[in-house]
Amino acid sequence: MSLEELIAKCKRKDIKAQSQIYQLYSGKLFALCLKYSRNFQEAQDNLQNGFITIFDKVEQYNFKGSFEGWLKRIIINTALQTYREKNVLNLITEEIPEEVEIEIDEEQVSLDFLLKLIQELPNRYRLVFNLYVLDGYSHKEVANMLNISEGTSKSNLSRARVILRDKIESNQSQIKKNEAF
Amino acid sequence: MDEKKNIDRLFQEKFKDYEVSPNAAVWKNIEKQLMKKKKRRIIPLWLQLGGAAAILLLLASTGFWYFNNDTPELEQPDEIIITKTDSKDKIKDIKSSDEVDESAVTFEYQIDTIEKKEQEENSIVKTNKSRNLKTRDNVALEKLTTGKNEPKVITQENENIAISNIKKEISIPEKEESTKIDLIKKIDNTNKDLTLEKIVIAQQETINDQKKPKTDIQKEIEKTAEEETVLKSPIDKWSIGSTMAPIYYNTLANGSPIDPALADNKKNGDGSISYGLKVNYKLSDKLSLQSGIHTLELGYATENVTTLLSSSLLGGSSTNINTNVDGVSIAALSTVSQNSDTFNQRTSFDLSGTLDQTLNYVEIPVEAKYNILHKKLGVNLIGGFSTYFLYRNEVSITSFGKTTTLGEASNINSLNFSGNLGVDFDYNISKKLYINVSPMFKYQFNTFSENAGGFKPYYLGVYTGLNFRF
Repeated sequence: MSLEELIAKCKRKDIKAQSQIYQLYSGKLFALCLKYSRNFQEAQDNLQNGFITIFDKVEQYNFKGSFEGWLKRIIINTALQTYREKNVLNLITEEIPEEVEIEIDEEQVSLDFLLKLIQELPNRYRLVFNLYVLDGYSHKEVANMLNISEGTSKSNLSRARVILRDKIESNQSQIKKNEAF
Repeated sequence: MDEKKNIDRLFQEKFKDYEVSPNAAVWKNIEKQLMKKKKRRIIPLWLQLGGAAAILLLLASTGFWYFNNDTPELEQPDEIIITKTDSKDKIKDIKSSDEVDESAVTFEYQIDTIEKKEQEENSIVKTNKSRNLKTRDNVALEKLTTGKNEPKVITQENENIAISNIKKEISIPEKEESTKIDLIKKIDNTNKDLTLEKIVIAQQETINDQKKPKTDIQKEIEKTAEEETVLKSPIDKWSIGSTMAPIYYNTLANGSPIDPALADNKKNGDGSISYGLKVNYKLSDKLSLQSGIHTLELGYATENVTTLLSSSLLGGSSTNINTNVDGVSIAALSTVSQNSDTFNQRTSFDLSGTLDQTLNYVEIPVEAKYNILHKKLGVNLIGGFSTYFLYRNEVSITSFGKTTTLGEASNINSLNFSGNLGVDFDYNISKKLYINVSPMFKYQFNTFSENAGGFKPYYLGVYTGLNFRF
């Protein structure tokens, strides 16, 4: 069955088609949730709520643009929604830090570790970093989505980078120490 | 090395094909919620089934009306199909037949060579037309032949003159077959540029009929192309809305359904307001079905009526009312006052004034809506019928501003029907919302079971409503 047929069936609320769509995309979308959430549980909640929204609004998908892109936007919006509701986005101070150069040995860092770093970022840093770096939104779009200014988006991104860099650095020096012993 | 790029690239590369299977419980939860929603959708599903039933009913009832409207647009596709297969053979056949036909074909052939760009179907329609409407082609042909000698004729003549000229012309070519064919050949071979112009002129002036089918076909093609694109994008098939209509009730003929004695009394239809809900289902771009439920109050007043306490006075002529009080009858005031005996015997309890008959119905219309203009303002024709369920039936008399209920009419059918005709104007506020105004004429068939006294009720209503597409 083609994807279009599957989507058409979803529009008619066919539970089997909905299940298949879930099977097809839940892996990618759950990964997306993990990046945007603070922990596993929150990511699962977002995935669940996101899929309910997807099946609710699938009638509005008009086959323009990729279906996956459409799904991702809904999931991202769902993730952002939790922070909009909690209104925790405005608690962070805004100053642009100095840029520091650093070298990272990419082979030494695991994906799980990087995910943990992302999840540990303050909410808005995490969202800005994800949106701009990993999901390719512009600062203008990020600013719009998070209801902040472009300058704030840029400064949040810099701070996120600094935090990530520091943590990776300290982790690497830790590894080196361990190796030395 | 630049730190920014390093960090970004590190994460981008690591997360590029990142996938994590969620816990199986997540799908179970989603499924549970989806099932809940499905249950909530049962009522709309019922509506859908009801809609389907209404569609079947309406198709059966409007089929007759629809297929009796034989329009040329409906016939054309058939013609094309028939002629398409052997149009060239036909041209040959015609050529070998009599001269008039041959000239027609030659003319067609000329047009065909000139308008090579045109689609095959179009030329086929032309040949087809030329066969059916020989005189038409002769008009053009006549213009071609005379046109060579007298070019002014083509541009100045109007159609009527041209037609009168053909009659003369037709007889001439039959005598001078060879000269005419020569002429045509000359036109065809030596004077191509000139004939091209003339044919174009002739076409524009005289064979508008031939052009029409062409444009119709083009329209058809465009339309089907449009429909295809429309089909690709999701359309809102259903719409639901509230309606409100001022109702004006009247009768086509004199007569009184209450009592024959009141046949000549003046009657006035009462105004009232009908409220309701409307459901519309789009069958195609052009055709949709609508149904709904409306409340309806129909009332009319009969002037100059009096009650008589003792029915014996007028021989108990009050026929169609089950009165609340025994022995009460009604009569036209004029007849009573003429008869001084009965007039004097009127008691002080008798009431003179206006007799009101009021009928309250629940109306369920089933109508087909055919779109004739599809812009921001849509124009539609509506035809259908309504079923009425009587729930209140009252006859009362108003005398000096005081209304007394006399009883109920005994000859009202509790179930009756009307034929509906009207126009509908839709104005789209947004993709989902539209306002409609539709003046309707509804003629009632069997309001009265018996003794309607020639009363033929109809009513006019201007239905306005706000509708929501989904």
